[in-house]
Amino acid sequence: MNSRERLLTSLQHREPDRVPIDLGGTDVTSICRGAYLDLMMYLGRDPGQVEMVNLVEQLPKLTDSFLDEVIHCDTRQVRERGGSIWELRIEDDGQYLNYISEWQIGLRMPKQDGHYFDLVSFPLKEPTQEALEIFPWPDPSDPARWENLDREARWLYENTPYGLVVGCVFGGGIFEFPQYLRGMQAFLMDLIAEPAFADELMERITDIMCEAYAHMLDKVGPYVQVVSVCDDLATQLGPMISPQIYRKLIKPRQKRLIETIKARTEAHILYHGCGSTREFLPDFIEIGVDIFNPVQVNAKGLGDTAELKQTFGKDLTFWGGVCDTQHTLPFGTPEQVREETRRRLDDMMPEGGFVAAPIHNIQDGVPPENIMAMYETIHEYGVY
Amino acid sequence: MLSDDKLPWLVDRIRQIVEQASAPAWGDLWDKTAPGTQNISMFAYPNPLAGIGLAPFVFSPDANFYARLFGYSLKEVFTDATTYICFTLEQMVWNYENLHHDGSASKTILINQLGFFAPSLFGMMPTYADDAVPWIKGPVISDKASFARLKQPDFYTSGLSPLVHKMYAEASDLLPKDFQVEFTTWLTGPFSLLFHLRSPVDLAMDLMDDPPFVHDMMAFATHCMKEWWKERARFLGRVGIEPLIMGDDEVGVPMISPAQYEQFVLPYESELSEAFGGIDYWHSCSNVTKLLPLIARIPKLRMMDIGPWTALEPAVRLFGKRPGSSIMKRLHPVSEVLMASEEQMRSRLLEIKATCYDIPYMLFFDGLNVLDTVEESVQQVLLLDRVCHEIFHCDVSRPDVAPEPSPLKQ
Repeated sequence: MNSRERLLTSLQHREPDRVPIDLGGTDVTSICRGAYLDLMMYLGRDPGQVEMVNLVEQLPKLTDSFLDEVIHCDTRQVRERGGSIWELRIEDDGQYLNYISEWQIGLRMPKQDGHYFDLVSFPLKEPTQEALEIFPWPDPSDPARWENLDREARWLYENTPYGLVVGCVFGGGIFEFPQYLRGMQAFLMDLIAEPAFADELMERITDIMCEAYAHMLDKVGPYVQVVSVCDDLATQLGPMISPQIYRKLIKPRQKRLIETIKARTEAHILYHGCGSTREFLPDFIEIGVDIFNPVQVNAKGLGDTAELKQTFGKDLTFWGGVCDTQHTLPFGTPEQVREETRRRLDDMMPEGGFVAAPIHNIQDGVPPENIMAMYETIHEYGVY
Repeated sequence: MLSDDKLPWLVDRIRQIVEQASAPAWGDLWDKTAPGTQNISMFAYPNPLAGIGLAPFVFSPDANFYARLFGYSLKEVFTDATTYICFTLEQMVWNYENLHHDGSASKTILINQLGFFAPSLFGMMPTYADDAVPWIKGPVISDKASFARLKQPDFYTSGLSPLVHKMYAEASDLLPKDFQVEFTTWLTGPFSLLFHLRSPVDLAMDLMDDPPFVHDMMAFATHCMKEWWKERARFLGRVGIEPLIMGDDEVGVPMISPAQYEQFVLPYESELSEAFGGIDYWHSCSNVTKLLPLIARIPKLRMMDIGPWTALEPAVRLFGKRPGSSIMKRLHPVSEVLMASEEQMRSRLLEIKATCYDIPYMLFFDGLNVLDTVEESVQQVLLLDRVCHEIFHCDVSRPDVAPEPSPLKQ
């Protein structure tokens, strides 16, 4: 059984030879640059010249030898290119590194001890129709964005054993992008105070998303096994917005996006949503989501993974959830990491429908000993 | 539109209530000797007769609840003195006629501009609507340069000050001499103020990226708050400032960590407490369970608010058993009140009573809004009032139920 067969078997809710493993298959199941370099040093491996594949999250390109020999990773990511008009220009103001994204969002990272590029300026200043009309929306049909993706995906499909995953296009969702464009506080206010504007903004973003995924999948649809969408809806304590607002304004648009994807590929749909999303899991199933990630086990309602598997395991594959990423993994002992990893595997492995992955990206500062304790436990106990 | 005879009728009715009112059958549960004489607050202090099995409770539904119930425009309530007075007096009358609670009718009327007053002094003006309490948006500190341009508010001209002065003067003229009007207050604590002025996202990043900037902003907010209250005292012809009633609503985990609270907030709240001769009531709507040991270090803190998300048991240990301090316990307005069954209410209240039985405490029911219909929400309020009356006014026994568990054991 090769990696792709292993992944597909589990996604079909059957037990493969061992649990499939993902690291770097998406930009929300990877490892941050500092943690990666620490781990490579701990392992005595040469990381070479580290190329960054995601600036915001500070994710490096992981070497195939590391993924194969250390992680036993079963996945590889197929990612979009940038648009032809936009060019990355990083400016150093002494304290921060700054750049403006293709969506005109201002980002910055502290030069000293910075972990991410944070979103600090938001281009849609006013909640008006005029602002939407004059905004320079990225062009999803820009050929540069999808150039050679079909050849790359086909080559990976025909020449490697890996399960292929389409990362989240544009790196945001229908509820997230309005926050990137307006600022989180402003858009949450818009939902209540300027509902027509909020509605129109989300509709435009949905149109762009649908067109982008359509172009992407017209190129790579036959070759990929998983397509990611992402949309954080919750804090760790509960939904960020009322379920009523979600069901009225966001869910129908997510459904349209997923229908667009499913019309072009037989790949499984992975939904990435951080925080306490339990309230929304039945909605995700209803709109066609097949896989739920990251299974943030320290968020309210997601801690009892055995119960979660029992309740939703027939309809959803759990991709992630291996070890509490805010407590055990960074601050526990290797033995505590092993204990939790083993417990999560016991909870979520039975009958397939599980892909072992960290809960979101492994952050800088996580001890290499703990990372290895997690993977060694997956290797040891992840066998059916 | 108010009828011409509404205000005189309400004034007479309040006079009747105040003259008739004597200590209820369950006794006077307020501590008349407690420090602080602001007489501007809905808060009083539980009589330190801990362990007698009784406790005061007060209903303070959201302004939107009363506006729907009585048919007021909230825009008019917060901008027109006559409407504001009628609205306030009508609440007192309704409460007196419908509730057993311990909030008494009074001939003192506070011109209350809630939490949107202080941010307005720095340029965040509220948006008004007929069917919603005014709200603020649009942070004014976008960067260090915009912070540097912020000025200490002028007591007479900044933000909502002209409106408040006008409403204060008009209310004083409208009401007869046996009534008193209290000038508005600055309730918003320094961290909460910055939460609005800077925006939560930027403030959260500042806490990590730029600690000196956070200290600069906190020091400025603290200084402005002290100076405003001194000016208020001068305006009212009073000697000095009185203990503070402060809502630092956004202080809580996970907005800030305990270490960040200790570094960025505690020094300024302590400074305020020293400057004001104490904090009579410290309030946050966030979960402050992990901050309780730090908040307990604020000097002269007399009543600690325990909101719906904060664990009661450690608060009882830290504040309830400390001489001169007490606890105000609030329920979750939706899940524990408006959507709760009688059995659920009773069970929760008995748990609270069992937890607090040996300490001075009170219950406070705020944030109550209209969920579906006014009638249904009113029925829930009346139901909670009846259950509270039975448990906290009529039954002195110690409940035979387990107290709220410690968060460490959950």
